[in-house]
Amino acid sequence: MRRLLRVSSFRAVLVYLGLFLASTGIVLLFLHGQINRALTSNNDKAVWRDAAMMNQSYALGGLSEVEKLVAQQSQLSGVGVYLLADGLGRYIAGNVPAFPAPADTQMQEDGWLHLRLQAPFAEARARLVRFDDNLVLLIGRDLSAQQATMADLARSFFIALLLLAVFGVIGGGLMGRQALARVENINQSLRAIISGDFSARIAPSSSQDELADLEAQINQMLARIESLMLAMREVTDNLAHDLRSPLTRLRARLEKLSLSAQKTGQADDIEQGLADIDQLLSLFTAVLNLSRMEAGTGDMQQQKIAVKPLADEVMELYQAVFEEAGWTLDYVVDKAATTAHIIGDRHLLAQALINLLENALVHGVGSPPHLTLSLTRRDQQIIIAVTDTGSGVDDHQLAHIRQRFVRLDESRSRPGNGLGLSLVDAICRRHGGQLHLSNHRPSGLRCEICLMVRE
Amino acid sequence: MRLLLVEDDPMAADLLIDRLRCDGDIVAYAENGEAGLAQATQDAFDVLIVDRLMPKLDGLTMVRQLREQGADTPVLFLTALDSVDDRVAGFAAGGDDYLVKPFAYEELRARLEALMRRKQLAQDTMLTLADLTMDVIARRVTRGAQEITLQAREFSLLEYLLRHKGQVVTRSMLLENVWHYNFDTQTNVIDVHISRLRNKLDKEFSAPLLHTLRGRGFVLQSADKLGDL
Repeated sequence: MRRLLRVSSFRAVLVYLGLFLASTGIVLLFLHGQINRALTSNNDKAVWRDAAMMNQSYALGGLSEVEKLVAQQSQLSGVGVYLLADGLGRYIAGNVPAFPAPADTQMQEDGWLHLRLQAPFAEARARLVRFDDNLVLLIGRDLSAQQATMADLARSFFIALLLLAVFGVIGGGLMGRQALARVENINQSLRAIISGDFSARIAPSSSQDELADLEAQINQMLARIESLMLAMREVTDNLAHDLRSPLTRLRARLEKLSLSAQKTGQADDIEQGLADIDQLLSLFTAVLNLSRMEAGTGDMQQQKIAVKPLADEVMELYQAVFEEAGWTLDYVVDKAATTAHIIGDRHLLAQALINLLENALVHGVGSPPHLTLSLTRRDQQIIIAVTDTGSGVDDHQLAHIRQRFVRLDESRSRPGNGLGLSLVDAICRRHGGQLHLSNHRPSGLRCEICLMVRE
Repeated sequence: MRLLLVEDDPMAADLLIDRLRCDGDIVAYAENGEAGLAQATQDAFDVLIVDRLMPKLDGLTMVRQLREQGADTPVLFLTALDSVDDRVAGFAAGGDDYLVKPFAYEELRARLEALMRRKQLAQDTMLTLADLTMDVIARRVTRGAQEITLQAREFSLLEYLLRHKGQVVTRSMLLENVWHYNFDTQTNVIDVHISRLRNKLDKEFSAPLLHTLRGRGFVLQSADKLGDL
């Protein structure tokens, strides 16, 4: 529901619905008043007609004639209210036995009386007709029928408003859901693309609205990105091939020379030349891999990988190296992390972890040298952390060391090409995760590979 | 060894053929996949060395067609493409090993030897060298009368070395086949594991079996037969 509330179309529907209900309410209220007034006016006319008839009969036949007519009318209909009385208010004829008490009588602005009467009547709207000093007629209409009608009407109006609100919210919800589904469709495709699948496209919807336009535009953009990526991939593949061919020959020539050079004593130079080629090549390979990884053109397996066995294997491979170098090791796996799985490429993740371990081995030597590898589960994330006890990195440089070719001054003399952390970073991002770097107290660098867990 | 080299770069091919012939191999050469396929079906070779990117018929297709014809000659792919998928595609087409250019000649040599003898390895479960014996099924290793206790990975490492006894085995071969990683590491990680294994294997015995050949790799062999390598 909270998610639905965030959808703009649903919010728009709610606001619109609120305004619509308010204005409809005002209109209905006005209508209610008008109808009430029309009914009252009809009543009044009927009373006037009655009164005129009474006046006429009084003019023609005096008291006896009026008395007869009043008695006749009183029996006729259930809505007419009549009381013929003498000058002192004493009952002569009619269906109301006596004038109501002053408390039950209210004089209204338009000259009509509002009366509260005994059963069978409830409330009435009436006038006084004075024939002479000794003869007065109270004539009016009972209001209960009109009041009941108006109450019915008000109830109907209220139910209509309620239905309007319910249908509006449901409709808005459906519209929001639909919009949400389509936006989610777009998001899903974009997520696939961010994680490196450049062939993913948004499934076209059948409607032809502005969202469909947006989808088409995004698809065009994706097609363009994919063609750029393919072009770039072709360039790097060609570069790899064209650079490797002469290097292969160069290496073969140097090897050939080194065979004959053993006699002339130049073998060392040639060995050095071979080592230089290999270094050049490993740098070239690293740059190429990194570029492919960052561009998302590198091939990546998408397998379900159990994280702990992968870390076990790498740790098993490197434990001996650390121990030989005089390091002590801790390998901590929290219970929730032992069964965690992720989706990704086993080789790439192993390489990322190995890069971190080798980094620590070269740059993180503390006194005494100690390394902690830990696997921690935090909500939906698994965190593979490598912590050394070396001198760490200045806080302001932490953000830079993951950039390409960045080598801090104090580490220039040590082996490496400045691409190790960049590759780890790229591998993490390619897996939809992150690489977090922080200084560890009291000293040391902590590198965390954070990846989403898949059940 | 009778080899067929299928490679579209004649200069690189010349250099390689020179070295192979120096080592006593008989080497035939084809300039593209079409010629390579024709030669490979006509004559018998021990190992085919095939470049992946070639005009006319690329290496992958050539090997796939060769396999469809029923030939099971071991194939070593040479390639300038080094991504994992390229590697997977190489194996899927019927390749047996994969070497990224440029390579050290010794690396190629070691892998050729390994491929050549692969047929002989069969599925032996009792492996021996001199007084060293490994029972693969019981997971027991003895040297002379003494039992040697190995951890799981040390056992796999020794098993690989024993199955390739007398052959030079390189660091990347070990990383690929024992640890199943196909990327290079910056540290001497393999050397450390070899030296640990050597401690258990050779330390208390007068005749060492596990040797390091500088610039080439490692070999498991009796010391008196090392001269041949």
